[in-house]
Order: sequence, then structure tokens, then C-alpha cells
Amino acid sequence: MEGKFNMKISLLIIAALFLTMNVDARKRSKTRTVGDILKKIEATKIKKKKNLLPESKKYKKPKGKVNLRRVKPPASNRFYYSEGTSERELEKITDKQIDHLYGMTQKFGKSSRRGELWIRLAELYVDKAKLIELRLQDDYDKKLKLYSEKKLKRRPKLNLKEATRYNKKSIQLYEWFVRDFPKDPKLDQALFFLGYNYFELGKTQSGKKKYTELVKRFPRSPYVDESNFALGEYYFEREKWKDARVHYNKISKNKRSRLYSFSLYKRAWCKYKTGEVKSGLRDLEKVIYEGRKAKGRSGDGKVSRIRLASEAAKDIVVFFPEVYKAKNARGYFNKVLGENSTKKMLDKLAFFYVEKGDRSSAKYIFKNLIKDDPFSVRAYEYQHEIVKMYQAAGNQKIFKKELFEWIENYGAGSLWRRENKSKTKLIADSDTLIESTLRNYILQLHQTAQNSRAKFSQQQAQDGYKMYFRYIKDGKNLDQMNFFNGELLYDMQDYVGAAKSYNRVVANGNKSGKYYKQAILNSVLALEKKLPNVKEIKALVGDSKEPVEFPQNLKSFTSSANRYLKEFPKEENSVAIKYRVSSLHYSFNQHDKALPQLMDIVNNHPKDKHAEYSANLVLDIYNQKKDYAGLAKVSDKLLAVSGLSSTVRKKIRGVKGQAGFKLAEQAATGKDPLKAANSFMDFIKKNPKSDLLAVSKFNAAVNFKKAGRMSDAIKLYSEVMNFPAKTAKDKEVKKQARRSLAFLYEQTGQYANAAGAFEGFAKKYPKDQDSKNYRYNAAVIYDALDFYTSSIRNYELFQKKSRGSERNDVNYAIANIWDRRKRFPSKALVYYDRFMKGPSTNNAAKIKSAYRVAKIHESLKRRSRSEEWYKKVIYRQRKLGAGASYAAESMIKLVERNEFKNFKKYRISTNPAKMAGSVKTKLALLNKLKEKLKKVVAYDDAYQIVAALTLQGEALDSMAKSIYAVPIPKQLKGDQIKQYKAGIENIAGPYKKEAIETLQAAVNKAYELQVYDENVKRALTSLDKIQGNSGMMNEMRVLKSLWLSKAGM
Amino acid sequence: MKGLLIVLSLSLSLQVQAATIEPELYESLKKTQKTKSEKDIVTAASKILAIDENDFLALNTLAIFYYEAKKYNMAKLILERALKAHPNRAELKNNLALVHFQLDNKKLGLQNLKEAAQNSDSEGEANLNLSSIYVEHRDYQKALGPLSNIYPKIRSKLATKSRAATALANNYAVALLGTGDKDKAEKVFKEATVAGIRDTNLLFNYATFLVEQGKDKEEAYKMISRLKFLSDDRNLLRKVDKLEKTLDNKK
Repeated sequence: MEGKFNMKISLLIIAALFLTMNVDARKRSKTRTVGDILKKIEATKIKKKKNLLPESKKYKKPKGKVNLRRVKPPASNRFYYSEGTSERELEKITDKQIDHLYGMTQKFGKSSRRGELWIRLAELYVDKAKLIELRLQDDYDKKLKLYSEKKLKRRPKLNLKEATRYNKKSIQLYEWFVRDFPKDPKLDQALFFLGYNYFELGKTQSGKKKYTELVKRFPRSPYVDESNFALGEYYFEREKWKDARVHYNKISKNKRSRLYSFSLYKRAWCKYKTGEVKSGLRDLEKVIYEGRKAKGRSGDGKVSRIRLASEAAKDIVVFFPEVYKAKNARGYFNKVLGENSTKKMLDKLAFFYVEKGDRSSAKYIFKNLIKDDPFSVRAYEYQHEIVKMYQAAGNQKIFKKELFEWIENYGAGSLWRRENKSKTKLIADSDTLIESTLRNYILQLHQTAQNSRAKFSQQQAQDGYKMYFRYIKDGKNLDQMNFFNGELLYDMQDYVGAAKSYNRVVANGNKSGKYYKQAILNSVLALEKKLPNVKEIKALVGDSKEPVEFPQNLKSFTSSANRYLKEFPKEENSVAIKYRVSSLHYSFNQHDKALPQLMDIVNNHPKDKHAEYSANLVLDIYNQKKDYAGLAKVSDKLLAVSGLSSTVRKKIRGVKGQAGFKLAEQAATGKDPLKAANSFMDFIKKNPKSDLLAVSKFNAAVNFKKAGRMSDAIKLYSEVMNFPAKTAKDKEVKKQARRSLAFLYEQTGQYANAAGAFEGFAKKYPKDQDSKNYRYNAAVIYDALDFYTSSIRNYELFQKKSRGSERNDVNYAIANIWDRRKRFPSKALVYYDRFMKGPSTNNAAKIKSAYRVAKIHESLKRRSRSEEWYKKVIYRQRKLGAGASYAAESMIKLVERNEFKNFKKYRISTNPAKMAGSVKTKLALLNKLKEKLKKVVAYDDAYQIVAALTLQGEALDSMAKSIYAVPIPKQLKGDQIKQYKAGIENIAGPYKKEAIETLQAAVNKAYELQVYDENVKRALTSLDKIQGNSGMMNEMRVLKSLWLSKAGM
Repeated sequence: MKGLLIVLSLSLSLQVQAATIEPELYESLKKTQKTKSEKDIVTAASKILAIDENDFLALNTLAIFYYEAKKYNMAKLILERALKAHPNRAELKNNLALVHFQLDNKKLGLQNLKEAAQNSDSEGEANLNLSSIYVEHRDYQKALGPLSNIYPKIRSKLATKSRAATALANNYAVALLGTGDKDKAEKVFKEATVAGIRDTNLLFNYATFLVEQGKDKEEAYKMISRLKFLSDDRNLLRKVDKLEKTLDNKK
């Protein structure tokens, strides 16, 4: 078992040596190190601003075919004046005439010719009312337009009060005329104007009454046509086309009527409205014809007829598509209006087709017109109209084709352009229009792509941009288009392309431009998307700690980012970008570049979230370099920055603390453990609230131990052991401290404490793989200290976790304890028995156990049991081979108790007759004894050889003495006695001699075999007695130490 | 040979082994040793072992404490540990031998004692113990070998009244007598009595020798007279009386 203990101790010393190694923070999987805290590069997201596409000009999609029934001819009163007439001027003249005539009527109020003046003044009042109405109507129309454009809040009201005032005056004068001059030839005129004015005042019944009276009383009056026209107009205004047509028909029968053309014109519209378009067209053709005729002559109605013809020519465009196809247009217009007007009419028709939504007809006419004069200005415009038309219609296929044709035929490098090169404004305008159309188209495509996010749409928009840049090489919108092209490419995740497009905006250098700043930023953001992620950076940089050059994409990014930072150092995103750049420098170990930028962020933007990230990286740069002094110093610098959040400051303080710890750790890697220990102690002193306190104390303890300062180590380990564990690491070091403490107690001779610590560890950490062995250590130390109960307790707990012979060997150890305690021999017997029955490779221990069992029984006076066990010792020794000395001693014991005792007990008979026989018997016993002792000697155990020889010598001496002791027969006298004694001497003498020789042999053998025990003394004493030695040497005293004396030697 | 009552207090060398250990710590250990308090001794020893875990003195002192406290296994454990660091220290072997004797392992005890004696300086306890065992078992020849070598070395220390030297001289003289060299024995006895002037055992041996020789009666009476003055041991005094009578008879 001794050997076993040694083995265990050795193992534990190895374990202890392992423990003396510093707790390396890097190997602590569950503990966060400085690096763990810092190495994470906080991802910074610079949000890309969503830029709305500029509003593109949208072409209203025609609602479909124009509802012809809603088309209205212009108001009739327009036709009273020739084109270009100034209504203002007319009104002024009219006012003067009114003033003049009014004066006349006042002057000649009693005159018989006053009727003439009234008629003339009434006419002027009617004219005046018409002019006012026209003016008011114009004014109303303008306001209505403004209202529809939402430029006016209130819907305007047409108030004709100012005009009707004159109608009323006119009525008064005509009524006076009819009353005072019932037979006057101008009565028909008066009735007509009364009817007219009543209609104007809305008194239609009165008006109709006057017209009817006129027609009945004066059927041949020229005012009959006027009345019919007025009634026609009345119904026309109320959209009672058929009623209106009845009155227009009556006039149209009279070709000489002033209102002939007018009635045809109005009838044409009535027909148009009632679906008789072809017939209506014929009426318009007649109006044109009449107009043409009127040009060649003078007279009443010439102006209005010409103007009506002009109006009819315009309106023909409305009527034509209802009757004919576009391909017939040129022929028709040639025929009706003459060759000179054809182009103009085709032009109008084409645009009408556009309005109408008949794109193919419009396109046909436009293409026809272009063909007429391909290099004309209008040709370019017609193609544009086609483009617009299809763009608005959303027919992309045709639109693109026409757009392409437009650009190709009229854009830069076209024949058209060459032909018109002298017309610089035209060229410039055409370029502008082409550019704007193309741009609008592309932006619309882009908008669609943005809305749908469909790849197809994006690709279409991208194709558009490509086309734009192919044709448009300069211009004010190039920045815009490059910018939005960049936006599109960004959305399409073509970040490099996007960056290039943004960079073109930047390269253009329009710093005050709308897109310059955003382009610089977006270029950064686009390139940022192509930056490698952490894993890719790791692959590029590897484990190198040396600066690594940026790959090209990073160079581009940092270049863009630095340009942004240079131009817009105080912009919202500048901190984030600066952080991104510096974090890249950091990742590529370009610390010299990273540090100033990171510090700049912290110093100048302490409240920004990037200040925290930057602080982290700054700290980690020092951490990576293992420059913990620098780390502590820079921590102080960071802590000096005001404005950093308390959370960040707390973190920095934590890192500073860890830096101190790392410094201490660094010191611990040196060859001076005392310095290392003091370094940790310094850290503890400076960071009394650090989370690393337990670890630091532990490390200090480890180093103090290395430095040979065990007391300090023990003190610190004890503190660690009693430390309230905050972290998993704390728990770990507490455990290791407890372990180390046990060894340190042992090392410093505090065995009782060591046993307690081993036991405590095993109790606290029962699942630790060493706990079992620590139980054993505790048991062995307690055993040595004679702390029996504690020892047995720990042996038994060790035993519970052990198997096989290791488990059984503990029984032997416990048996030994009980054996030593003496008071509970039965316990010793139980454990020896268990041990002997159990498996063990320690055969010597098994033999010794049997021997101890024999001895215990002997001490308990159980003779037979003890002899039984002595025999077992002999038997088992023979079987197992080990433990010869116990077998030899057992045999001696048995011989002494049996053969020797029997021999000594046997007395030689004093009866001469029996004497020879009894001598013979005793001699036989002696020989038997000798034989037995030979067997003892055969064990070759020095002590038992001496014991055997001594016993044999004593037996021989006893034999001799027994013979000598035989009493001299009483009957012998004189010489007989002498002879008898000589005979006795002859018998006993050889035994005596042999006894001396044997005892001397025992002594000699003892000296030879270095056996100095009681048997030697017994042999010497016996020799003295046999030989009668006495005198000086027997009295001599040996001086020896008290210790030896106490040791029983 | 009759009962031998020999009283020799153990005197261990107090050599300072480790330069880094303050002498005060050894002084403290020495003081606590006298108190026989385990707590005090262990504390004092641990302070030294905390500096040098192999400190010979601290370990040996601890071992002696446990030996005296009859905790022989503990003593054995500590001595074996100390011997790993100091394999040639005779004191440790000697003490381990004593532990083995206590644990009834004479063979190992004697073996350690012999090894101790080989490494021991002349005055070392191991020599004394080993020679005393030889002499006690009358193996004078074996005792004579080492003692004859040692004696010339310890002679000078007799003048300092070294008790170990006195004991060794006594045993040497006895061994010489045992081997018949009476003259040399007388000379050694004489020299020994200079140191062991108060050692009644030595005086008794010398007196016995003088009486047996009968040559220098005056010296014999002187020794008898000194024994009577120094000893309170009745048994010894009875023997002294007997010697005196023998001497008287030789007149």
C-alpha cells in the first residue's frame, strides 16, 4: 500500500504542476476576454436614401373616340364680327353712338320722327348688349378655365345683368315705337327686335309671340329670316336639334338671305348631332363654297360668310372621319378646299385623329405629311406626335419603334439635322425635345421598375438608360440620368455599375447640382455592397498580424468614401462612413491608418453610436498587438472623452481592467514569477471590483507558488476559495484553488489541513475525475495522523468509487487501522477477512493479513484459532509464494507452542528401568523439533534462522540439563556414583556441547546476517548461562540515544 | 548484558539550509518544538516549507514531532519525503530507522541506520545508534570497525564535552574490551571521562574496568567516589558498593 500511496502522490504532483500553469485567458472557452469583447466589428448600416424619380411628363391616355355629339360649334355671335375685329373698339364706338342718339331722342322727344331715333338707338342698345354679353362671356370662360385649373376657389357665375340692361332699354324703345307708330314700315324690324330682346331676357314666350306676330303680319319681311334664325338659335342652344333644324331649313331655302350660310352651317351641326353626318358634311361644303364666292364680292353678310367658311373648313375635320377613311383625306381636301389648303387640313385632321384616339389614322396622315416634306420642321414634330401618341397609349412596341425612328431621323447625325443645321434654335429645340421625350420615357420605365421591382421592367429601364447615353452625350439632364441609372443599377444589385454611374455624376463636377452630393454618397454605398464580409476578410488576411494591402474593390470603396468625407465632412453619414473605412483598415491590420480615424470618431462624435464601435476597435488594436500598457493608456484617453455614454465608459473601464489583467498575464509569461504575482496583485489593488478578481488572485497565487512564496499562495488560494463566484470562470478557479490548496498544505507540511482540503475537494466536486484519488490521499494522510474515523470514512468513500483489486486493497488499509487501534480487534478481523477473500495482486499483504489474524487471535488468547491461522499463513505462503518471513515466524510460533513445548514438558524418568526409554523418547521429540526447525531455516529468513538456531540451542541445552538433572540413584555409592556421573556426562555432555555450538551458531549467524534482536540476546544469555560466563563484560553499559532506546533497540 | 538505561537527548544540527529563509523562522521553529504543540510546530514548519518545501530542518522537525507523538506513519511519510530531497542526510535515515524500529521492522531499521552511519559525520547519531546496537548485541568486532575510524575524529570533541562523542568513546572502549584490547580501552575510557565527567554510565564502565584490572586503585576509588556522589540510582549504587568491596578485597 505504501507503494500505492507514492504512486498517487506522484500523479497528484503532476496534476499540481499542471495547476501551477497560469490560467490562460485565451484557453478559457466560457470566459470573455478583451479580444472577445472587442473583436466583433459592429456592422454599420449607412442607409441609402430613396430618391424619388423626377416627375416625367405623362401623356394622357385618350379616353377613346371623341363623342361627336358633344362637339359644339362656336357661339353664333362670334360670327357677327369679322376675324380680327376688336370688340373693345366696337363697344367704344357703340357707346359714342348711343350717347349721341340718346341726346337726339331727348332733344326730339316730341318729334314725329322720334320713332326713327328710337329704332336707331334700340339697335345700338342691342349691339351694346351683344358686345357686353360677348365680353362677359369671355370673362366667364376665362374664369371657368381658372376654376377648372383650380386657380379659383369659387365657381364663376355668368351674370348678364349688365347686358340685359341694354336689352330692356331696347325693348322699351321698340315697345314705344310699336305703340306710337303701328303703321310704320319698320314695324317688322321693331317686332323682330322685341322678340330678340325678350329671348335675351329669358322671356321666351313673349319673344316667341313677337316673332310669330312678325311672321304672320309681315311674311315677306327680311326679319322673318332673322326671326327664324333667332328661334333656331333658341332651340340649338337648348340642344333641340330637330326644332332648331326646322327654323334653319326655312332660311336655307333663301339663298339670298343674309343668314343663308349661317343657317347651313348651323343645320350641318344639327345634322351632325342627329347622326346625319354625311348630309351635314355637304352643308359645310356649301358653306365653304358660299364663303369662297363671297370673297369675290362685296355686300351684306360677306364677312360672316367668309368667316363661316373658315369655321366650316375647320369643322370639316370633325365631320370627315365620320364619313371617310384617312387615306381619302388628301383627295377630299384637294377637291373641297383646294390644293393649297390640303396640307393644313391634313395637319388638322391628323391632330384631330390624335384627339379622337384614332392612332393608326393619325399615324397614317402624319407619315403622309412627313413624306411630303421630310426635312421640314413639321416633319420632326409629326414624328414626335406619333411618339407621344403611342407613348400615351402605352403601346410600347410601336412606341419604341417610333421613338427610335424619331431619334435616328431627327437626332444628332441625322440627314434632317444636317439639312436644318442653320436653324440653330430648331436644332436646339429638337434636341431638347428628343432628350426630354427619351428621358421621360426612361424615367417612366424606371418608375414602373421601381413599382413592380420585376426584373423584366428593370431590364427595360436599363436598356432605356443605355439608349439615352448612346444618343445624349451632354446636356443639363445628364447628371440626373446618370444618377438615376445608378439608382436603377443599385436596385438591380449591379453595385459596381451603379458606382460607375454615380461617379459619372461626380466626374461631371457640378457641385451645386441636385445630384452631386447624393451621387458621391451613393457611390460609396454601392461600393460598400461589394465589400467582403467578415469571413471573406478572414480568408484574405488569414492569421497575419502584419498590414495586408486592400484588394481593388476595397481601394475603390475607400477612395470613394474618402472623397465623400473630404467634401462633406459634417454630413449625417460621414461618421458611419468614416467608421466603415477605418474598420476596414482595422480588419486588414492597417492599424496606423485605422487608429487616427477611429480616435477622430470618438473625440468628435462621442454621442454617435459609432463612437462606441470605434472605441472597441481602438482598444482591440492594442489588444491584438498585446500592447496592454498601450491598451490601458488608450483606455484612459477614451475615458477622458466627455460625451461618451455611461455604457461605453463602463465597457472601457472593463477593458482597462482586463488590460491590467493582461499586463499581469504578460508579466506571468516571463521568467520572474514573483514579478508576475505582484503584477496580478497590483491589478487586484487597482481593480478591487473587477470581475476578474478571483482569476487574478488565482493567477497571483499560482505565481507566488512558482516564486516559492507558498504562504502568499495559500492565503490567496484560500481567498479565492471563499470568493463568491460571479462567473463560470470564478467557479473554475475556485475549484482549482481548492485543489491547489490541498497540495500546498501538503507541501508546507500542514498534513491535517491537506487531508481536510483533499476531502473537501472530493466532497465539493464529487464528479471531478480526481476526487476519488483525493479521497484516497485524505484517507492515507488521516491514517498516518491516526485520525482513524476520518481515514476510514475516506477509504470507504474511495472504495465506493473503486473496482477490483483497488477496491479490495482498501480493506487491507482499513484492517491495518483497526489492528493498530487494538480496541476493536473484531473490526480488524472483519476487514482482514474481506481483504483476503477479495481480489488483490498484493500477495505479501494477503499473507501478512493472515499472520495478523493469527496474532490478533493470539492476543485474544484464542490459541487454537491463532494456531489455525499460523497454519493458514504457512499453507497460503506455500501457495502464493510471497511473505516467507511471516510463514517462517508462524512456523516458529507453532514449533514453540507444540514441538518445543512438548519436548520441554517431557521429563526423563528417574526410574532407572524406564530411564533409557524416556531418554529415547525425549530424544525423538528433540529430533522432531529439529526437523521442524529445519523447515523454518528453509524459509531463509535471517531473523527466523537465528530464532530457529536459538530455539534449537535452548532445546539441546534443555536436553542436556534434563539428563544432568536425573537424580543419582540412592543405592549408588562411592565410585559407583563417579561412574554413574561419568555415564551421565557421556550422555548429556554431547548435548551440552551441541547446545553451545548451536547457540554460538545462532549468534554467529545473527552477526553474519545482521540480525540484532531478542533472539540474539536470548542466545547470548543462554550461552552465558551454559558456559557460566560472568564478570566485567556482562556489567558493561552501552550508551545509546534515547530515541533508539525508546524504539526498543 | 543487563538493562541499559541510557538517556541522551537528541541534538540535531541547526544548520541553515536555504539562504532565503530568515533565521528567525528557524528560531521560531526551535522554540515551538519545545512546546510540543502540533499546531504551533506545524505553523512554524509550514512557514519555512512555504519558502522551501524541501527544507530539511522543517521536515525533520515535523517528523520528530510526529515520532514523539507516536504517529510513526506520519513521521515515516514526512521522512521519506525529506529523503527524496536529501537522500544523503544521515539524520533522516537515522530517524527513519527509528521509525522502522517502532513499526517493528527491524530489518529496514537497521538497513537505514547503516546507510545513515555511512553518510554520517563522526559525531552523528547514526554512528552512535548503530555502534550501540552492535555493542549491545556483543558484536564487538563489527562495532570496532566504524568506531575505530570515528574515534580519532571525535576525540577532539571530547574536550567540548560533546555527549555524543562521550557515548561513542564509551561504546568504543567497551568494544575494545570485548575484543581484548584492554590498554586501548583504558586509554579511551580515560579520555572519555574528560568529557563525560558527569555520565554515571561511563563512570561505572570505567570504574568496573579499573576494578577488574586492579592496576590503578586510586583511579578506581576516584571513579567510585564520583559515582556515589553523582548517582541517585539505587541499583547502580548497589553495584558501585559491590565494586568498592571487590576493590577493597584487592588491597
